[in-house]
Amino acid sequence: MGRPGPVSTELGRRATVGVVAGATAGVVGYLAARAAVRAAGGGARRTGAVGAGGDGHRTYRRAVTIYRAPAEVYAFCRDQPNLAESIGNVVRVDEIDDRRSCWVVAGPGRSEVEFPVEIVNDDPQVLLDWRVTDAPVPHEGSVSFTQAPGGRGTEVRLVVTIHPGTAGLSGPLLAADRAERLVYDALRRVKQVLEAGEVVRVEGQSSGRDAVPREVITQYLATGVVAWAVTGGTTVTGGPR
Amino acid sequence: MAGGDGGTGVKALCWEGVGRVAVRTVPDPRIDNARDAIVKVTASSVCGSDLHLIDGYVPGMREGDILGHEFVGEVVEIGPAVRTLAVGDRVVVASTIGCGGCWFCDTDQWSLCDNTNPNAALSERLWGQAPAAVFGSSPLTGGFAGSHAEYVRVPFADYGVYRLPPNLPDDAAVYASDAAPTGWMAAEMCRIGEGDVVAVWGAGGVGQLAARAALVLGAERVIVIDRYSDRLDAARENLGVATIDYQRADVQEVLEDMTAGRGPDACIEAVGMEADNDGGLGLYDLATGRTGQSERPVAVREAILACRKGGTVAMVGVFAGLADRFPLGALMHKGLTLRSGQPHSQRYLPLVLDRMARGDIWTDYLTTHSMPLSDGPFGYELFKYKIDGCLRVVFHPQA
Ligand SMILES: NC(=O)c1ccc[n+]([C@@H]2O[C@H](COP(=O)([O-])OP(=O)(O)OC[C@H]3O[C@@H](n4cnc5c(N)ncnc54)[C@H](O)[C@@H]3O)[C@@H](O)[C@H]2O)c1
Ligand SMILES: [Zn+2]
Ligand SMILES: [Zn+2]
Repeated sequence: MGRPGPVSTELGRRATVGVVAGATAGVVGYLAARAAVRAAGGGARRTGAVGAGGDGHRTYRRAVTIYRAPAEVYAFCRDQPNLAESIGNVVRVDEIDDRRSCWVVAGPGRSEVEFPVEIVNDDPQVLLDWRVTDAPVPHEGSVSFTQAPGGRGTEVRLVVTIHPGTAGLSGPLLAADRAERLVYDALRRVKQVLEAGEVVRVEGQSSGRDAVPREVITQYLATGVVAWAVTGGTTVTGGPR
Repeated sequence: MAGGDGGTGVKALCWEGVGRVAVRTVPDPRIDNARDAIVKVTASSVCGSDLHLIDGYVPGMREGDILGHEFVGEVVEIGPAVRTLAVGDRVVVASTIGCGGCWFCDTDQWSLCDNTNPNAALSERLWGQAPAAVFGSSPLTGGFAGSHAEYVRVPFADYGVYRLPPNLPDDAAVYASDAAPTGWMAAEMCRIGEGDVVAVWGAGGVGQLAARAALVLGAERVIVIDRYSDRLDAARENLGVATIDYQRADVQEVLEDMTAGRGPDACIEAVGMEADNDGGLGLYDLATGRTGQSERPVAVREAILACRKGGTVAMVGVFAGLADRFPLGALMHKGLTLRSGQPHSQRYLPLVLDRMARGDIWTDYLTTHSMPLSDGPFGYELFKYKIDGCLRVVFHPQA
């Protein structure tokens, strides 16, 4: 099932932070961890290249239509175990209270980043806003749910604004178009889990890139044609039935 | 079959680079998702779509990718969430992968599934939205390993895998994966009415099956166009259709004559992006030095120009990017309908199996060559250059 990262059994069913909020927070957390690792390892390759906003904040917007009723999509987004299922980098989520929880997110290698997520607005089946302030990558997010026309399900709109955090971390982070990609991937994963029941994976599948042994058994195109011509057009192998 | 890491490897036909394929020993496919199944492949057919991949017309192919998307075999392993299959089932598998749960799958438009293409973001940049995944294809359509292998992983196995009647041989059933559904869909897109004349460009497996479907769906007359006489002969002898050799005659003129100036009521394009541009409207490209474009929409042009006013052009040949010199004026002023798509295999597969059983669709004559997978590269040469009367090659990976 999408091979999510290890999930702590501490993940309670009483959890209150939503999956989309969490998914995005998780992604942003992953970026933070990645940036931190880079900084620790001798630094960022790039700085700057930040979008609009005097403080360098950057806003990402993505939307998907999920073929499920708004009530179901919202309910899914309030149920934390779904979260770990849907996205890959969350190690653990500890609840602090009704609105706040502490997220532990895996970064590259064995690194982990911990930060609190606070729900600032919860309008059941309509809207969920959250904020992450005390983190290497402070950000705020909002996800809204509206009925799509013609029985097409729910329009899910996600807006995430990332603020520059600790100098040296935000540069490579915000410069990366990857952030937008990851935010979108998280949305798509939620859609896939809700509609298809799993996030189908293709990486790691069998291919000739891992040939065992890496040996070519039959040669390339064009050699056989020569053989065919040389034998005067008689079929070398196979043959018409 | 040893799924997982303990396997000893399986033979598979891999893409090695433009114009090159080879059989390699690759790791055993394994259950990666709970809804996967592993199928032991007993027959796997070549297809014109593979040529577009082999010849480098579709972007994104990586060295080592396993080809093949039309296949039958036996279920040897199922994931914990698979509900409708059992180990030992003899099955045919749909070429397009559908999740069964999105709006598109729910409305029977399986090749447009929202959830089976893991590289959707990539395809969206090129095409706006992403289509479903297809076996043995470029990452643009999922990048899943193909069926020219001893074993293949089948994702979402509850939705694309169909049990076969015992009396239907592998070499016939293999056409139900893709070629027959594509041909049937092409004919259905034509909305054939009484007295309709249907012209089909391309006498490959897809064109032949489209021509037959058009007859079954009530066409008055079907005309098949190609340049290979053995393929045209096969169409005449096996389907009773009329044919035009486009290297010996002016297609537009002949069609106009055959329909007394009306033009065919519907036109099916079953040629694709590597159309031969030696003759006819391929001259557009030669004259303007545009032969280097990634697509050669020669047969689509022909179809649009020939088509009756208010008629339908069904384009099932595969294209990937942008095309120049497209007859927009003719399309617009003749009020034509242009329809297209990968086959919704899951929609048409049961229907096609039924038609095969009833003797309405036959495929024996299409498999001109049958060989073990180890001869795969040679099989593709025969198929690519259409030599030795080759119409389709079916590989037998267990042979
Ligand atoms: N829509 C789908 O999902 C789907 C499924 C299967 C195949 N296809 C596509 O259908 C096409 C045909 O597949 P196939 O397996 O029959 O391939 P094929 O290579 O056997 O047949 C193609 C035929 O087109 C003929 N041709 C080339 N240029 C022509 C021209 N200018 N006018 C008339 N005929 C011309 C060739 O001579 C050849 O006989 C390919 O593009 C393939 O990718 C699409
Ligand atoms: Zn095909
Ligand atoms: Zn689907």
